[in-house]
Amino acid sequence: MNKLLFNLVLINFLVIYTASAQLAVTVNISYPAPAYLSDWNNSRAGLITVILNSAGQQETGLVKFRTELQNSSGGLIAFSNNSTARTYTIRSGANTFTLDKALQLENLRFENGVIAHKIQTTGKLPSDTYTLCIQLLDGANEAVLTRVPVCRQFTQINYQLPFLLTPNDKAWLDANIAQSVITFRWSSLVPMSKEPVIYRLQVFEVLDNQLPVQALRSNQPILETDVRGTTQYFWRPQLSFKDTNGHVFIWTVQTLDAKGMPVSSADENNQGRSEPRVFGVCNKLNREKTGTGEDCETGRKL
Amino acid sequence: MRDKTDHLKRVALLIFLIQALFVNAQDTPKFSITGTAGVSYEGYWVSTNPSSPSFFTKRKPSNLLRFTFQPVMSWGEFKLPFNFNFSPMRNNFGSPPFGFGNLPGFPKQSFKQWLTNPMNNISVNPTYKWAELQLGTQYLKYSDLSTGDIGAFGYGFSLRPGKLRLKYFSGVSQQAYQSFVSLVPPATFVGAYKRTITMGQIGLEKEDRYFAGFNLVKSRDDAGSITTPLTGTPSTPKPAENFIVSFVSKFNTEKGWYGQTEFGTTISSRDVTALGPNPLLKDFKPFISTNISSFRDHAAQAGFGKKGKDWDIGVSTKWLGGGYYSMGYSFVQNDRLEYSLNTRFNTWKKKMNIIANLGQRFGNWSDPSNRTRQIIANTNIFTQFNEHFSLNASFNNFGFQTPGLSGMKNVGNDLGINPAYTWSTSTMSNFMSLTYNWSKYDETIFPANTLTSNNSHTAMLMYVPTFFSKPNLSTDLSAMYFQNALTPANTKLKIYTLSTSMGYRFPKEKMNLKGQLQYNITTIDPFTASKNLMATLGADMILTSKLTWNTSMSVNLFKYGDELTPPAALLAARYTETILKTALLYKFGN
Repeated sequence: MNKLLFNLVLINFLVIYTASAQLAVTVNISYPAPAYLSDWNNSRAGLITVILNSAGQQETGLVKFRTELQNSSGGLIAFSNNSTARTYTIRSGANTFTLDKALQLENLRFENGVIAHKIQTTGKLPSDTYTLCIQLLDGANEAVLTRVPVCRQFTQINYQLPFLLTPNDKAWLDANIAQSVITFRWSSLVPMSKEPVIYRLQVFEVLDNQLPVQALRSNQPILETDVRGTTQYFWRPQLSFKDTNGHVFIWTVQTLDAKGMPVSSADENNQGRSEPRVFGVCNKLNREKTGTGEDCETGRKL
Repeated sequence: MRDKTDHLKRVALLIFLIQALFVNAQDTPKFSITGTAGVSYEGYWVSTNPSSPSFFTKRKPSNLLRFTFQPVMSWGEFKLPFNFNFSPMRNNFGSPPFGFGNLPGFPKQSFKQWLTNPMNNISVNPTYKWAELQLGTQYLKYSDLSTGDIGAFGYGFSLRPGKLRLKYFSGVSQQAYQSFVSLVPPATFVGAYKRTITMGQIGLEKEDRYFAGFNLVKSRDDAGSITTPLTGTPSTPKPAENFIVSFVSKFNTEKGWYGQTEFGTTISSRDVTALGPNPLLKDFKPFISTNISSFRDHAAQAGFGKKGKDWDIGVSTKWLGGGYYSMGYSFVQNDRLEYSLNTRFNTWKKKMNIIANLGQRFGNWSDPSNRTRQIIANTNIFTQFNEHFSLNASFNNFGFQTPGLSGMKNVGNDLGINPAYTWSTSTMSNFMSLTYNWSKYDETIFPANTLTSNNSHTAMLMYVPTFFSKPNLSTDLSAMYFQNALTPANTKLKIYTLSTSMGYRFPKEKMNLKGQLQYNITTIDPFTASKNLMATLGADMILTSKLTWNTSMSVNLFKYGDELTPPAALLAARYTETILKTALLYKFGN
């Protein structure tokens, strides 16, 4: 039985080896490449297609990827260990792989300590342009099946979500002005995207017996509006603010790319939302305590 | 199996502690109860004219019913505080299911999902002397870098014998939600994994003097809790894991010195199902096993200062590494460094109060080529010249700049002046307050040096008369003007507001009546003006010595100019919002 298996595998190797000219590899990497290298296992990041042309016959073979990661000036950052690379089965026709199979982060030897440290601490490559080169090896004897490496340049951009600037965190606003207009300002997505981004401003009212983040996670936003081309919004609340207790709000900006998808963030569950800020609207400001979060005499706390 | 045994052991320990608390409590026969219980309802109705095409989206749930039950029962030194705040509705937006709860066909929330829904708090914390059991929903803040703003449903304790501080809690911070795709209306909910958070703290503390301790926090998504994760676009976030260890210290001295420091390290895995091992990062067992999606980074913060009777000055700094991430503060922006100088003091015979802070914040700190810089400067000066006249002046500045040729620069300057004057006659006293704010906000986009400039002016005059012959009457009147000029588009937004409010107390009926009327005219170049009238009427009634009933109703009428056209049908479109709020509150105890 073992001998039979050995013979079958050997035949497969011979088929691929002799037909190496009929192997074609294409690499597609999205722009920009996903920020976290571990996200390369999603087809959104791109795909590798290996086409095995076997003249209509049903053939299979075992292959490995040999990987090199280079920086923008062609310097070697990391390369894969051929002997410990994973083996994949390909069939005649098009075979697609997610990019993590080619990158094989688990099997890389790093030559560039600075970049290795960056990946170790953030899970991301530093923002820059890189080149990923792939060669197909025979899955058994590691013989080169595609003599010329297929190299694809890709751009890594590590976006930082906007900071919320105005209203200041834990500031009380005068109800007599806030009932007509409240100005929101935030910083842009950094670095600026080549494609236009959408800033979805969301304001949540913090109800009695709620904590601010609890309100953000559970309440319907009292304001949800998409802002394009600027980082400012004038909100006309049309709410009654002059009752006795004061009102507390938590606000955030959700940053969406041109396709309406949230920009990647540390916690994917947050869907591209910036670190929220809290502010209150008070009809009895205590000016002596402005800025401390305690300057509303009506009892609510920030 | 081992997990189950550990779980049973923990539950047995908790039962033992509860029994111990009750046995001890039998020595304290005096019973008292304080706290509150109540129910509140908010109804929201919208009508639009025309009804089609749609031009206004509801901004509140149609019905929101909330129950509160917060009695604190005491038997001597044994306390049993309840904190039940819950709603039968589901309106989640910032957490799963992100507002999909009302989508036709979306599965009704299970009891477990209801329990762990951030809308609901169900907790009881029996306490005896220095021992506290934490059962149900808890929002526990251990420190600034470990965990603090995420609630979890579970169990734990806080022990404070002498100077020792020992805390532990384990609970579900997010219940699993299966992915859901709706065709009509088209919507995709990517789902969310069940997330458990476990935390512990051990330290030493002398009340109001010092604290030093370690925090350990671990959070983990249950990879098996979503049966069919979505892999396309959009896709289900991968199940993640996060571990934090931090050392925190605080002190206060009798001479007014104060300070605090915290150093923390996190190890995070973005995908617990990813391959391992990680060639760059070893396991940190028994706390966390790493894989190729794992990374580790650090953070630190410190603050020191001194305060006297009429002054306070301090400095603070905070650095979060590019890979620092805590599921206990899941929204916090990492990769930043910030520092500030803060001060507050009274001067000029204690008639002048000055608050100021000056600082800088750097974003993308680990990436010098994309590092951002933000300058923050705030000053507030309040002066009570005499019993009649006071003046408040404030200045806020921030500058935000991204580097490089394709960067952006935002600069904001806000200046506010608020004089207030009080005078009296034989029949009444009068209060007049004028507020003026000037705000300039410039956005410059490189390399074209495209400058967008916002210039805003706000002026508000408020008058509050008090009639000596009518002590139960309160009223005020205010007028406001706001203008923002945007260049180079050369458009202006102008808002005119007239507002008055009135309150009357009926001592015999134990009732307060209150009302507010507000009228706005808004013009946005080049459109015709929109108009807005808002009226609110409310009553607060003391039904018995322990029961109060508060009710208010407000109606908001908004009529657009021509900014929604085309289509022509939306010329002078109108909507009416009606909000009814009513709440019954019962107070326990005397």
